[in-house]
Amino acid sequence: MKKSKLSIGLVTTFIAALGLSACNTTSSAVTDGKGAIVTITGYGGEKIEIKANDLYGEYLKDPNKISSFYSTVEENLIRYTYEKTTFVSDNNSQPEEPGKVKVTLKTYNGIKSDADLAVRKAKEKAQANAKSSGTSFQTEWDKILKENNVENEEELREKYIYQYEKEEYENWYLKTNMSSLTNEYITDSSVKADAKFPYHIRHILISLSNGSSDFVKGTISEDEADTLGSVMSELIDSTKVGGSNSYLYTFAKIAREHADKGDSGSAAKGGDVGIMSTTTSFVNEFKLGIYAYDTVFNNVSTRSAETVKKVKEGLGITSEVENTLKTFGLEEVPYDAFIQIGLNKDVTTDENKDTVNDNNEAYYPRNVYYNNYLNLHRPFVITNQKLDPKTGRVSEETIKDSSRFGYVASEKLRYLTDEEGRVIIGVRSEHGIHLMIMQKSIFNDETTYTEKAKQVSLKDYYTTYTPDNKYYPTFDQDGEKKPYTTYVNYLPGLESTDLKTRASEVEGEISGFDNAYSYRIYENLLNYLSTKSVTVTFSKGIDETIDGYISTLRQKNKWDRADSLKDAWKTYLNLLELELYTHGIKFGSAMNIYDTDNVSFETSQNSRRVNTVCAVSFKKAASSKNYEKGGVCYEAK
Amino acid sequence: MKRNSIKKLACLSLLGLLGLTACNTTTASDVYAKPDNYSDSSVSFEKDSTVVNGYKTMEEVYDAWREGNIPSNVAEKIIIEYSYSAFGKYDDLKSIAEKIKNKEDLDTVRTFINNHKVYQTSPRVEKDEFALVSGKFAAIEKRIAQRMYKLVSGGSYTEDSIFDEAEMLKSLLNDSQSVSHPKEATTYKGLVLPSVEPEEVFETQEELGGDSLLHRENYQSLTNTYIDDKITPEIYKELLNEQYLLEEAKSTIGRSRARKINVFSITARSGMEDGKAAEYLMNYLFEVLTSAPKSAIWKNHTEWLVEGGSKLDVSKVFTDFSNAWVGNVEPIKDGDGTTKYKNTVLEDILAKQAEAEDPVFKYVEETEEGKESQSYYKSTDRGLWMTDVDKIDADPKKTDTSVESEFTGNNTYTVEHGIELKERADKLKDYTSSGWYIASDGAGTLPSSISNRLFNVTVSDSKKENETDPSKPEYAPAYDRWQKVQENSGLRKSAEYEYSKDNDYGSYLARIAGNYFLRNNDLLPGSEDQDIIFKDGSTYYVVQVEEAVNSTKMGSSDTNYSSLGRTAEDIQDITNEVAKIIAAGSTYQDLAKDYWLKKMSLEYHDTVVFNYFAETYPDLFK
Repeated sequence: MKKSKLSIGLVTTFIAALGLSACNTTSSAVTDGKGAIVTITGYGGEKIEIKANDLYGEYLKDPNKISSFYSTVEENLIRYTYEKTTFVSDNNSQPEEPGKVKVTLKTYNGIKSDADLAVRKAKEKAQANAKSSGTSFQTEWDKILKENNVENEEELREKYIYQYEKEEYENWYLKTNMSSLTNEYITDSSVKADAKFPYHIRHILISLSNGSSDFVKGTISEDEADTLGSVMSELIDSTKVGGSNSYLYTFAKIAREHADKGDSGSAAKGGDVGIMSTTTSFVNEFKLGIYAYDTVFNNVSTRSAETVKKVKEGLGITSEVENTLKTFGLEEVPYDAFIQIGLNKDVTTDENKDTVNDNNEAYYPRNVYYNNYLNLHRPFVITNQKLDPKTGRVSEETIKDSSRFGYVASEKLRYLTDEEGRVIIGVRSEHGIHLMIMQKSIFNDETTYTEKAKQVSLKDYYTTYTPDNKYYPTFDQDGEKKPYTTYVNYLPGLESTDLKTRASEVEGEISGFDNAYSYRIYENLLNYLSTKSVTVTFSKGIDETIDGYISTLRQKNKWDRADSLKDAWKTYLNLLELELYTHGIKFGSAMNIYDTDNVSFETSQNSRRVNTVCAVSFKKAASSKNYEKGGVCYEAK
Repeated sequence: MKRNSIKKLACLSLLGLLGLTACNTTTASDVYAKPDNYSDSSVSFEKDSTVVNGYKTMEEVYDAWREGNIPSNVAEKIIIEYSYSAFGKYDDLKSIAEKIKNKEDLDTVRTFINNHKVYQTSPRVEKDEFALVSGKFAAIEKRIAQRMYKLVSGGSYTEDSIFDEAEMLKSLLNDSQSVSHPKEATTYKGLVLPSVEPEEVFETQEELGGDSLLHRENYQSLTNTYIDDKITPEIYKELLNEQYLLEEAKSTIGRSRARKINVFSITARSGMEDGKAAEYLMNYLFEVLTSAPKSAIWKNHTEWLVEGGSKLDVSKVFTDFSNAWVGNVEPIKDGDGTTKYKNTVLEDILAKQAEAEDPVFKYVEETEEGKESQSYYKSTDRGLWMTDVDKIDADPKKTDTSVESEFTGNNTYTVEHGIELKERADKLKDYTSSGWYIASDGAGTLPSSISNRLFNVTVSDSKKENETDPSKPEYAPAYDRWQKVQENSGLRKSAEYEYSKDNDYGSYLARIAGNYFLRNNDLLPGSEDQDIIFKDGSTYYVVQVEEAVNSTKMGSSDTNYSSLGRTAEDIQDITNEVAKIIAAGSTYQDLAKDYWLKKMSLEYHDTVVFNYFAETYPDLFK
């Protein structure tokens, strides 16, 4: 017995001794460095200290470490402002000023009550969870504390208090600064963020299944041809609704009717695709097509040169881009091209029911018209011109009733518009043919409207309120306050939930246009405290680090936006250049081109696009000189 | 055993066990090196002389950092600080190197060396110590350039083969680095031509239009500290690793069989005509490299000579032959004064085939106005794709749709733009390579049949170092294949120089008009004359050997580098380059770190940091 005790004791001592020496974490191995973390002996034998102040100080100066302490700083600022200043009482006691939004803030006591309630609810939840999972209240309560990253009930309460204070402050900031934020969002780029130059766009999309990379011999189906024809027939139809001054076929109605042929989502809202800004990811043909049309080709005399310059800069339209666009020019497509496509939707054989050119679909009349007039990645307008039935070319003749062609380009030439006079702009993208209107252009030319409800400023157009709200923009008419037509309510017959959704959409745009938005709150707090003669002192210059970080982030956001626009324009213009070049390719020797009477009216080389005469001569291909061997429409397998 | 002894034993055991459990945990004895403001609020508010501290202090932030990256950062920082103490900080070292160069204020230089033992030789020889300092600074400068070049050549700031320094500045600024703002900076935008070496990244180059790839002041100036903050510390760490090698294992440098080489390599194309192209090019290359001093080739191509004209600059020759293989053309004034787009090497080869109806590198001139630069030579890289362009036809039935798609980026840009992109890509092609290699690592992409010969010990014996003292047996020119013909009383010389392989020292290396080339002993009958050309499969190689290290040359005998007349600067450069390669290996890095940490005699003043070192570098505590 004695011997075994001795053995045990020796072994234990031995193990302990080993533990002591291997561990070496006795307090003597680590000494107080009086501010140094480690001391080393340099190469030459000199002592070098690595100071805690220096090492941690480097971290404080590193903008990449800012997230570690920024939230701490922000919490201090919000809580001090909310709890130690007269911010809440000053705000709540201020009388309401006309035209200025007033937001009533919850008091600190109110927030504390809410926090108490939240804590009670958390406890109830813990109890319920304990019951349902068969554990104890303490276990479930500890879980909740851990989830919230706090140690105890008091800390949880403080966390809720801060959370509610922050929400109140952020909401107050947004609502009271909505006016200036909206201006910044629309056109007034600042050091903090670039404006987003919003357009409100609507469209009718005619989906095309064939890929869009074939510039010259794309094909469309019979159904697609039919839709193109129908849509155009309705757009030019001047029938009015029984006795009224309103057209039967409005843009919205046409969009809804053809929803299943294109974009059903927007069609249900009368073609509304919503707000298109510089960061919206629409295809280039759509977005840049609108920008190109509105800034380069749509010369409205009432626009100020300063505004035009600002908008061009904001949309990435450099002088190089503009010159290139001008070289390409604005395409004018006769409305009759659409009609002819529709009329020839099912023409696939000649009048003898024989196939033509080994049934090469590129020669179907609908495809010939499509490739020559609609298969365009560059923007086009639709004119009141007819096609010459003998050649398929644009003729001098125009449509009899030009009332739907509301834009007067020249004495005889007019462009198709919607029922309110907005020019319809067309383009071919990977999705199909888009017929677009600018419900609200960034240039706000609509102030020229006679209807007062539409003479709304851009800022008011993008209101975040619903018509039943006292802050909704109104105008005086016959002694009454009338609501302006804005993004929120432009569609007649919307339910209040829809109106709220639309208002929220605008609010989301404005509160989200600046990727560094949250730092505005920080700056606002500092500014407020300064006005109250409160000196805010930051530990070890972390305010400089924060300022540096904010500045870098803002610069980065601007660069990212500019680069994104630059890349988009480069890709788009490369595509347009290729398209134009491809359309212009000629080959072979010159040949006679014949009309439907087999009379030569032109001598020309062949091109990669099937000549329009091939469409008008198709039915009589057997006898047409164009379809003879060596003719412009002849193509053997 | 007596009762008291048992009690003592029990107590000791208990204490020991307690000690074991106390290990690796922060206990009440936790030593925390806190910064001054640890307990301060991150923000405090003062109004009317009343100060209110914020709710949260810096405690939480610092505690998180301490448990996070602070300990590993300490490990990094002490290495850097130690290396500064060894070599001197960059600004000091720069100033001293400048004084040495200008031979001014040498007393300050001597004081610096006295305070930095790493530069002291044994025995103390001032000129060698000065060379050590200059060499160290030169190495740092070279590595700064090389690291910055890596940013350029990485491709992140390149679009359609065009590098944009402004984009690089933007990216660095976005990462909160201290560099110039692109709007206020002078920046380069253009091709990163392979003729610009990494070390030349900050130097203006004629081929860059008089500009440099990078403008140093954008990264290192009074206001911009990117190089000082991010690049230089990493270089100092590297140098410290190498210093370990120099102090503890210097002999490995000599034993490394390090070689500095330049390589030219092309692969023969398939097909009848194109297949002959490589042969023609290599034949002419051989002719150039083995041309006699002051021969017609030297007179007609002064651009291929080193400064002073004493020998061919082989890297320049290789570069021009690389461009020839690519088929790059440049505007040259023709005999009649018109500007043609030509390549001088290919013109030389064509001149030799003047009688041939369809010469291998036939020149196809583009005469359409405005498109003259689209001229090309057949059987070159450019020629092959230019021939493809001819397959694109306006007539859609005749055009090659896959070629058209290739040149239009699958229908996203015009053919002209596609041609432009191809031309840019061609300018970036490089069929040469160069660098230092050690036997254990191999020689880049050279096949083993060649690298085995390259690293043979005989190569370093054959590479003679003595260029100045004809009385010594190691006099290099004595082994040159080209020897001056001796005057022989009245007999007329047929030529100034005579060529003979018998002059070679050994069968591995040939010295030809001042340059060394690796010899091929595995030749087809009839091609033995061209014994500096290797062929592996269908790939040709020519290997110029610029340096070949061995233990004798690195040692202290009378046949070492110094005794044979190599300058102290050269010796330093060789030592630095070879040490860099060896010390970069992970084995040496680990050994070096352990070595220096032990030398530092660390004193710990923070428990968490201590625990980190105990766990990460347990050997420190043995």
